[in-house]
Amino acid sequence: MWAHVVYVAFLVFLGYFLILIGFYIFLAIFGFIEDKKREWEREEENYPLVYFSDLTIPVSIIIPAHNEEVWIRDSVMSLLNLNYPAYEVIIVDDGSTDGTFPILKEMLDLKAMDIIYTKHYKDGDVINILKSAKYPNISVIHKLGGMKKAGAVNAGLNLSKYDYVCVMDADTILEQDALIKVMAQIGREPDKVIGIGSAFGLSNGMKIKDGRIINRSFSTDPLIAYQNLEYIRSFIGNRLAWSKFNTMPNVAGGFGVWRKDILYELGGFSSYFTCEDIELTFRVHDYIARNKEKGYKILMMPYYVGWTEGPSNVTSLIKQRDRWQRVVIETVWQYKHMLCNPKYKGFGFLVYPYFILYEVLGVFFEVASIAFVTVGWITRQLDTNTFFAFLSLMALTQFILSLLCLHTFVRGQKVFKTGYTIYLLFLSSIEFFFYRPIISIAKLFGTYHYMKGVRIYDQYTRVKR
Amino acid sequence: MNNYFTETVWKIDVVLLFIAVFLTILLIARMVFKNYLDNRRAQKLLSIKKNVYDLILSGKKIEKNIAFPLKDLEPNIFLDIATNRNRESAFFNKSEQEILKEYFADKKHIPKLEKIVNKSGNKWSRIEVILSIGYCEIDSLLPALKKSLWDNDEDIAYFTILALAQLKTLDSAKTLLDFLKTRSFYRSKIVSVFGQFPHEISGETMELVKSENPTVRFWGIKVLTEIKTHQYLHEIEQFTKDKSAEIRSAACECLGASGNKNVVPALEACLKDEMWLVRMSAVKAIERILGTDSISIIIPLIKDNSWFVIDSAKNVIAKHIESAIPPIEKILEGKDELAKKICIEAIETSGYVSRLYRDIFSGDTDKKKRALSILSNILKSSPGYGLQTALYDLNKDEMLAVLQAFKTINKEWVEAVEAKLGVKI
Repeated sequence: MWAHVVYVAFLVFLGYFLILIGFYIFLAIFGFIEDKKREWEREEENYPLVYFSDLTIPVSIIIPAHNEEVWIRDSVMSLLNLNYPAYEVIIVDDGSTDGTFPILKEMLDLKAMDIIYTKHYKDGDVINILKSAKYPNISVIHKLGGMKKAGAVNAGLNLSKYDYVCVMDADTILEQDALIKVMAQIGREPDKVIGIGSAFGLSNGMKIKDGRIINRSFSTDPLIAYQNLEYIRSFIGNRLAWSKFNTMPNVAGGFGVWRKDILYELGGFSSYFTCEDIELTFRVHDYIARNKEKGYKILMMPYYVGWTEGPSNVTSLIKQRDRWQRVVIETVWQYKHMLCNPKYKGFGFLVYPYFILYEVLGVFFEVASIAFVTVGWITRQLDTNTFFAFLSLMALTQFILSLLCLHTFVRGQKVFKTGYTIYLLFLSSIEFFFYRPIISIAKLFGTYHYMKGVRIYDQYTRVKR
Repeated sequence: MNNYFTETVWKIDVVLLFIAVFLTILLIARMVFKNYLDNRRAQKLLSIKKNVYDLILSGKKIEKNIAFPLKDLEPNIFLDIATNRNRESAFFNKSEQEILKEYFADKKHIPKLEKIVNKSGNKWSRIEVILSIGYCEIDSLLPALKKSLWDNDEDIAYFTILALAQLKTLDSAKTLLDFLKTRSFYRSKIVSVFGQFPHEISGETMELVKSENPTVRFWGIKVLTEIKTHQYLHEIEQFTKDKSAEIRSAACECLGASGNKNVVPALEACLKDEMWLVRMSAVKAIERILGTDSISIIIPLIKDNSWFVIDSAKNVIAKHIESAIPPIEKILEGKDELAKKICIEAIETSGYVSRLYRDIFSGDTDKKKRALSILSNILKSSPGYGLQTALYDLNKDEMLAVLQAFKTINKEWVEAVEAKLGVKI
């Protein structure tokens, strides 16, 4: 009997990893094709024409900030340096208890503004709306916390005046050409593109002054380097491929542009969930399918548009990934009707099963398969040869995934120097043994906290610079 | 002890290991090779730059037999040079670019370029050449561009639009207008490129505007707006009476862009249009033409029944607040509460409240009297809207003096402000 159970379990785990390899190859191939197309488009686009055209679409940039005293100055300065002809910046101080608001007040010379403020979107309690006396296109909403990032973004939406909104994190430093690259893409088909995201990396290790990156040295701390690798896998290796089939599952909260009419239809961001970005993207897909809207696109761009701070110690990393795992499960559960539903086409048949298999259940398969072979080996149900063969399979699967993504990344980007890329290559070869266990632990915590009903947005502590 | 599929799993491992090693070597080789190619390309461009400098310094006119380092032109380098793309180290100024364009537009290169545009299987190579033709302004290759504009591939069509925009000739304009007439995508982009074209294309565009198809008429008028035509204004005026509200609105925009005062009566008529969109465009157009003088025409629009029209009128008032103050004073003394509110918002938006505060302390009795009268009316009409913000610009004594003056008008408001600012009269 026990031997039979072991046999079936072994088959299941082996099958899982083979399906995973199939998914990786599929994503890598289409990610590569999409990356190549976008890179060519970028090279050939006439950005000065976009910059000087009256028809270039103005954008409202919304930055929700909660206790961001470490980054807020540079983040705002990076926005002032943007090469874009028409944009407004709305910073939402979401109940900060640190120096965020005083910093904003001092650097922007804020003055209270009497304004008609319509609450189209649920935003919580707004204390005051202020305008910068120095920079006429910057406004600050001072509000009480309590409705998570979603409430803060909704407050920004209520004040925003343009048809496209760019939502970004307060610890993100944007590249000068970030907005023009992304909006040029939207400008081609403004009637179709309703959401767009783009890649960004980690700013840890960089020297930043007044919102400008003065030294692009990437951190060699393995924990940071592994996160850089993960970002490449996520943005370049994964979402680009989904974007090709118009099934992009997540316009990241760190940088994403949305057309406001779709947000209006959906009532803005939802504070019911732990995080807001992935849930909103799923909701948009749901809305489009339910209303049989045709021709709409949610795109992912491979351009590195900005840099954000990543957790610099294991505890913070676990805290962050715990939160990410929770929101993934919350979203997958909320939109369970999409699974293999013909109405949702590729989203229902590919993205959703991928999310269940890899994002939700993946950690259980990984942990259970390791536990299974280890226990089997210790109890002498499995011989040593099988034990090592199976472990090698798991480690190599992980390594090949990274390699495929790095290939696409190196072809299109000149973000990292050759030495750093080789360093990432080396780290990815041993990721399964060192970094992967940390992420698995975080995901298990996330699942456990989800089961317990935890829905808080627990921000990790920013490192003083 | 069991060994389930051990052989099979090891075999899969070996295959995966082989793939991993292969990908690793390929990745490293690729990075090294890419660096090498980039450096080589930069070197080549620098050599071209040096030759061009020598040529300019020698004062000779460019001749066909001048030996540039690249005899067989690669389209991407061609484009690099023409547009200075991605190559700060090999930057060419305008006159140097002209010399290069002349060289690259040499007839012996043209068949090669034409062949790539028409027959290349690599679409991005085609796109590079298409753009090169545009940037180097090689008019003789316009037929090839005309063909590629109608390509089924949207990318090729898109970049051909950009290339045609660079040519800026009547023929390239006609090609774009034909495209605009029949294809529905990229219309906004096409209109945006017309900003670079000369006014001479107005005639061709007018033909488009006369189309039976309302969509074509609409985009035709948009093109005329972009090129800021001074011709055919009488014909465009007729479109302010079109059946389609979008076209009437676009016609208003177009007339506004012309800056011609003769069209103002037609625009004034549009202020009574049944559609808010047309009225809003007319408000903006009149302001664009008359500037400050538009106030007397626009101020009645603050009583419009559409918020969009009211908002655009309010923005005009805020922009020309100095001229708007006399009629605003009358409105503030009147009984229309909504109109008063709009005027107060306009005053606040324009930052005029600070100016009124300064007038109080200017020492000029007339100015002080007028400022106090307006501020009092603001305070009576709307409880302090915009008054508090501007107080921050004053010093403490001035602040107290203002609050003292307001105390008789609205005591509650003054007390609330005192509490907020932490001051006491």
